[in-house]
Amino acid sequence: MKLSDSFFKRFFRVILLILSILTVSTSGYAHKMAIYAYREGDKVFGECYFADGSPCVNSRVVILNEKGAKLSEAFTDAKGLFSSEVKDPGPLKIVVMTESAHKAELKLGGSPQKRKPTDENQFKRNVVRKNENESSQLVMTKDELRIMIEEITDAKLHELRTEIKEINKKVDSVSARDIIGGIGCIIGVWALVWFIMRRKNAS
Amino acid sequence: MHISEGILSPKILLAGAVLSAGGVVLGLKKLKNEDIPKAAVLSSAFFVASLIHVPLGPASCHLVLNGLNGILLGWTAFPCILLSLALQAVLFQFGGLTTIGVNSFSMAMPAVISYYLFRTLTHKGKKLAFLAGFLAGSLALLMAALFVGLALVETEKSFSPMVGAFILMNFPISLVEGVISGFVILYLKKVKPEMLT
Repeated sequence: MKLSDSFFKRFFRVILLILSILTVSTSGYAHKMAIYAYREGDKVFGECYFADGSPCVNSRVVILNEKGAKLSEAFTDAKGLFSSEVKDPGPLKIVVMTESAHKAELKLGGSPQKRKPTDENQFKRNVVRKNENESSQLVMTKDELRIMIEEITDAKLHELRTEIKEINKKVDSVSARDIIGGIGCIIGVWALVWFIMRRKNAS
Repeated sequence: MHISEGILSPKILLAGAVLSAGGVVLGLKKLKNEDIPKAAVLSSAFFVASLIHVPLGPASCHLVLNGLNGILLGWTAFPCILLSLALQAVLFQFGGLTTIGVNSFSMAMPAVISYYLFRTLTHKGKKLAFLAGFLAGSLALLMAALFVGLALVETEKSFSPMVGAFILMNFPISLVEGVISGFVILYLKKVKPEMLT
């Protein structure tokens, strides 16, 4: 069986053409998946990404309660982000599954119990502001004050969460140490096989 | 290509483990002393290949190199692939330890099939040797995608639309893998032809 040079040239051209067309498209999936999620009030926010940091796009996110009952469902966006409303304050299990059958799970602790609205008459506090010429009175309930503090804290925490997310991504990525260690293990195991076979042959 | 933990049914996991164990035993029985360095190098190549992501098409897939393993090692590809997958599961959390049997079988069996289909072609001229490497590399990957798809469908019928998509998703990388395997075979034929015997 003989194949001509022109056949090979054409064959290579076709392969290169297909590859160059396909390479233009964007990337999406890799391997090990990880989830980063947190709760904010009645909502769960999260991000799902692969070991190389690329986002898990359009992946199904299922949020379950402690007993495994489904509470809500969402899909990740182009950045791998998702959010879903969950009213259950108990611990949650978040399961993300991609179209390519990759799966990741994360357990999220329960959110602190929400305080019941306080009795306005009992807890009404007056904050008095004095101007140079006249005095004005600003009335604020304890609940309003709590909401305001929560909003400020959330804004401050946002930066911290972003930082934690970046640290998580670094931890989840594959390091050169792991690769070298793995290759070392492989060589070690095969050396052991060689040693056993040699002893077996000698005996 | 690796199936994660908690997806497959126990029946499929057990079947995969039994079949892989059989393949590993057969592979070790057929292993010769002089083939051990080759097996170690190819295991390492398989282990590292999964970390090389190629952005092709709507998905960025990774190299597998099971076809190259198969055409050079035959049944010994089973222990090689099993060892690499075990380390990938432990070190990188790729796949999982419970799915190692299914993952090993779905990647190693196509490698063995490639060995029987294309091994003789590597002894012919340079062009045919390249073609053998190309076909072994690309077809082994597509077969592995099919095996993974079948394992998923056997577990849950709702996965069935995934099989076609999974093969299609791996098609671009199968071409890359075919070219790499073809060139490796061609190179070995030139510098160390005894590796192909």
